[in-house]
Amino acid sequence: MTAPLLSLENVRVELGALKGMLAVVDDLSFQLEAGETLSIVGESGSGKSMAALAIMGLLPTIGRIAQGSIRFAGRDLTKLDDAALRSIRGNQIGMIFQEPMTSLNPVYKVGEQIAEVLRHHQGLSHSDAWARAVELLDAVRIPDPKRRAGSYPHEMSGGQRQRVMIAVALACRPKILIADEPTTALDVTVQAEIFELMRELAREIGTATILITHDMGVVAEMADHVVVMFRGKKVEDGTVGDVIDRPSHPYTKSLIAAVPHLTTETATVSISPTKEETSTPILSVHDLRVEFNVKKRFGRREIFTAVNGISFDVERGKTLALVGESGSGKTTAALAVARLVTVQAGQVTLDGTDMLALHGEDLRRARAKVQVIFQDPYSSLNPRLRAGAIVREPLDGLGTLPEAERDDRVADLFEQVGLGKDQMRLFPHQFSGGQRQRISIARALATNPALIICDEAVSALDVIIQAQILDLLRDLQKSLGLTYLFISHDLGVVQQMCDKVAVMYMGNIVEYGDRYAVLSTPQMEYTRQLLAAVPSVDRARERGFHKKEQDDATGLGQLPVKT
Amino acid sequence: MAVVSMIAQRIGYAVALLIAVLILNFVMINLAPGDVVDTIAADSGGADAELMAEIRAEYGLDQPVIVQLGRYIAKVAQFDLGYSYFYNRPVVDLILERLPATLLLVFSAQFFALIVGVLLGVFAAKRPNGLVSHVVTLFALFGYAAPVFWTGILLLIAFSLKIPLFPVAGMRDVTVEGGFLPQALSVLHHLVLPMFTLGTIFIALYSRLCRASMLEVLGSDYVRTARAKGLSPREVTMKHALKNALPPVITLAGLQFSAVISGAVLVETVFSWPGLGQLALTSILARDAPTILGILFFSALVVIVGNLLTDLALRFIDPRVKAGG
Amino acid sequence: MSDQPITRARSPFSEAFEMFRRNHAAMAGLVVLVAIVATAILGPIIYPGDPFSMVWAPFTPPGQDGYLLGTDYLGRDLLSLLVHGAKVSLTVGLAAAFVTVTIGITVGALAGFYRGIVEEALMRLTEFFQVLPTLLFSMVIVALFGASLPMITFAIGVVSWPAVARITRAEFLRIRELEYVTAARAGGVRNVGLIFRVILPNALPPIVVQAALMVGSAILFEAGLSFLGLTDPNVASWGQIIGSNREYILDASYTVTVPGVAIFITVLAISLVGDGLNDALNPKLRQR
Repeated sequence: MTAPLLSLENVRVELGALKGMLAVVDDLSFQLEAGETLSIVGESGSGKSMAALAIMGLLPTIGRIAQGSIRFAGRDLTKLDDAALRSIRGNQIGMIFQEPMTSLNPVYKVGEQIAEVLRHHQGLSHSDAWARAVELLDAVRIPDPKRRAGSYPHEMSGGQRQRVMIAVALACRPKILIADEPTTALDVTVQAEIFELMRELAREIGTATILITHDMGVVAEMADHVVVMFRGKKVEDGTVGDVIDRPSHPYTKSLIAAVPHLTTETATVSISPTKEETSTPILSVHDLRVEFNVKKRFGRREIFTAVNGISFDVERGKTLALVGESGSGKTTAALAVARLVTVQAGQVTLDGTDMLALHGEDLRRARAKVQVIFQDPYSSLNPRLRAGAIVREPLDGLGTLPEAERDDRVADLFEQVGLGKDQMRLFPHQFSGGQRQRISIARALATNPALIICDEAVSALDVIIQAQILDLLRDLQKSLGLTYLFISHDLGVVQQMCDKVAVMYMGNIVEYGDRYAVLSTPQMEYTRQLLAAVPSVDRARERGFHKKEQDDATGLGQLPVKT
Repeated sequence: MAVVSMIAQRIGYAVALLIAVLILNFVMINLAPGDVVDTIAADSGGADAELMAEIRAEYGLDQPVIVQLGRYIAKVAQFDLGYSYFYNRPVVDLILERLPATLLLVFSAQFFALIVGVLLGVFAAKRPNGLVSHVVTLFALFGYAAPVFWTGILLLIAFSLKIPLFPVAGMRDVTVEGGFLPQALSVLHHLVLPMFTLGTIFIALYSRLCRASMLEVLGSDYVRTARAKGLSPREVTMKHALKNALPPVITLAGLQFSAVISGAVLVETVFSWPGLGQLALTSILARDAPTILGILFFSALVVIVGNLLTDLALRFIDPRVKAGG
Repeated sequence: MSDQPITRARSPFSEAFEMFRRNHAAMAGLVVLVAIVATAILGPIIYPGDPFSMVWAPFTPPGQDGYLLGTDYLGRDLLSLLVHGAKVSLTVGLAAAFVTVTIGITVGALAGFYRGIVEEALMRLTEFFQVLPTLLFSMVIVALFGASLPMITFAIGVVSWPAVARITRAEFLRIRELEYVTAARAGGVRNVGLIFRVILPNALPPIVVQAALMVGSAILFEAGLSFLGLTDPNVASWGQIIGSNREYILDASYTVTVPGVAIFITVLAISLVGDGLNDALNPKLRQR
């Protein structure tokens, strides 16, 4: 057996912190064989991205490789000077990043950003490099590549930008492609397309791939070999089949548990239809329509229909999920129910109140009936208020309780969401992301609302915390009889939380029904595409996990390419 | 195409702004105690009431206010800003005579400050704890805190009186003979100190912002991409970072045009630079209202033109400006 | 970011104060500033007498004949002028900054919160004021309406507010989109409450910094106007000393440089404090 293409041995990466150096990667060793796909898995802060940057020699200025070696093509990268590293970067090792929206330079044409690499490493002339850039855009399936080479990044969608990034990374046919969460910022159907493209091109060029991700479904579908990292250390290392079927570390187990099992959902797990079905819904939405004025230059106005006449019901004590990709109108629809955006037409009846008929003070008071838990645990709490005051805000604003009882109520709420009373005096920045989301939940509960809207309430959290918050939401629902309108793009979460599902696409509900019916036997083409695009451990296991020669057998290949 | 319609729109907006300046001018004259005729009367050592009424009628001052405003705007549209009783000349002539000197000072100081400021900012950002970075910080503090007329006087004492490198006053040496080139050189020689004095405030401002902007851009994802491509530090900084760091600096420079003109008034006074600032000061001390308001009008015009140039520069640098607006 | 409980409640304010205290330059600026303010208040008591009275031979150089800073072209004691001028310069600076910030916050907050036609109108007004060269405009106001100190203060304030308005509006536009504002709205907080209790406190840091710098700018502004002779000739201020001695820089440069140094040090101290505030209040440096 020949030497591996890349091998890390006992690598320790340190970042300068206030108190000395902090090890963000500790004693990391792994090997990458030519042509294989290695996945590094871990939550944010596990050191997986730092490991990748260390290989590239791109650690931030406060960081350094304290010990260990990184051997690539017979050389130790940690010993090379910057000029030698530069001749490897972008040439023999290419990298793509998480944020396609910000990873391309906004002031240069995408063709130039590809051509530049070719000129630099291969010494091509301007015109040759440009011609090659157009070919590369074609290879990453950008339609009309000749014209699009002259586009600027802001004229492209997120998926297209990530394709351009792939073209940049693969321009010099590198031996290794490092992809750091390349699809985390993208919709799930776009993610499937990007992965398919990466797989195809890597095979064509013979590039080995290091894929960094937090999603075990992705690992199952993409990787040959897995390294699991937890708090800077490697906790698991093996073939994808071994790691997924026989995980040894509890963290690996929780990662695997977080992946949705869409194909194995059976009627027994779903709620059985009961008499409650006939009870009158607590929220009834009919023909809801929301439009935005998109202001254009020179006074021309354009109307964008965000929600195009949708109808749905939510029963008391139940959870309805609004599912869809970014721009589908799911959040707008939910905020419209709470009258937090302007509604053009329709009917919203909440707990017997016609919400759309309310104005001024009446509307303000009616807000007690519907509260929202937001996505971002950092921007959803006012940084100037103490946690107790944040939870008290709706009580003061809506006056649902006599003044004297409010403090006690806040204390009770803190207890209910699993926070200590002594934490009421703290400020938001003193809490972790999960704790902040608990404060958000307490605030939403304060007025005993008839409906709670969870707007991607767990999307920003790592899987373990995510599971804790979902547990809390379920417990509260059971003990308090809460009704949730649950907005999510994550079908795994939806599967765990919801009784009914409404799938939204471009402002319309395209499929609506019981969870079991929608997720297991979807009737509409879009729902099927959406489900097929979700990376799945089960599907991968059925195939015997990823085998290089079996690429064409995946379900992903059948997805239509969105343009 | 888009640029043409953008310019057309901007010109329309500029005209609206200028009319607003005229209305403001008019309101201020009417609110101010006494009118033009009082001033004339005072200047000529008193006049009898009959004569004053005659003059008032002649200038339409007995008409309703709104008619007067209409007349005033109509006159300005015909490029007539009134008559200066102090200088005994039409205001437009007075201003046009001085305008080139002020424009030279204002634009040269702006360009000088922008170029030096951006260079300092870039070098400072490359080494956030290096020598240049500290120099920029110190210079920024000095530029902000030192009154510009005081800086001018210090420079004047140092480089004209103690070490006579530069002339003390004026814009050109009347003894210089010959064609365009010697004349131009003489003007440049006179320009150095005023330009530098006026520039210091803005060098401080721009270098500081450019440093901050560069630091932010250098930490951005696309700069990391550029480094991942294996480009040299020079290419990363000058090609990928600088072009993205410039727009905020240019935007700030555009907003500073009115401050540059304000500073020019002081600098012109210190160096006896024969521009609008000097004219403004003398006419204000003489309470020559038509001239003062004419200068205010023209300086607003210069600011508007400066802003338009800024917008064009931004569109040239950042392709997103065209799309977003 | 660990989950271990923190029980000490540290308000953003006390954290900012900690940051500020650790900033040596800012603390030095603050000390100097306090000294200058003390001089302005106590100076006339310690150093009584009319600063305008002729006490010695004109153009006595500093240090000679018991006059620490010398005398000016009229034989007036420069030190006395400087001490008495401090009060005027500082008062005008503070008052003008107050006018500036009041107008600026009002316009910026309304424009940033209400959007639509209110924003359009207010931003046009702001742009209009930015087109007028500040110094020229205030010269015109002072020339037409008289060079009293209140009028000078008003003139400085009325031409300087657009910068504050722009910053305030930008902050409002950013913050009003944040989820905690929507949450407050969902919690039944009224518009007035949203503006003043939810958004404004969070928008304050850059405004506070700008306000501090505005005091410095206003002092410079007053000095500029005085230098040009547009001031109350019967009241000593730093700019006025420079302005009245301007003709004599060839004979006695110290009459101009010394008050200049006073202005410079004061504004420098304010600017250091402003920078310290900026660093202390900047969430980018503090968070996470």
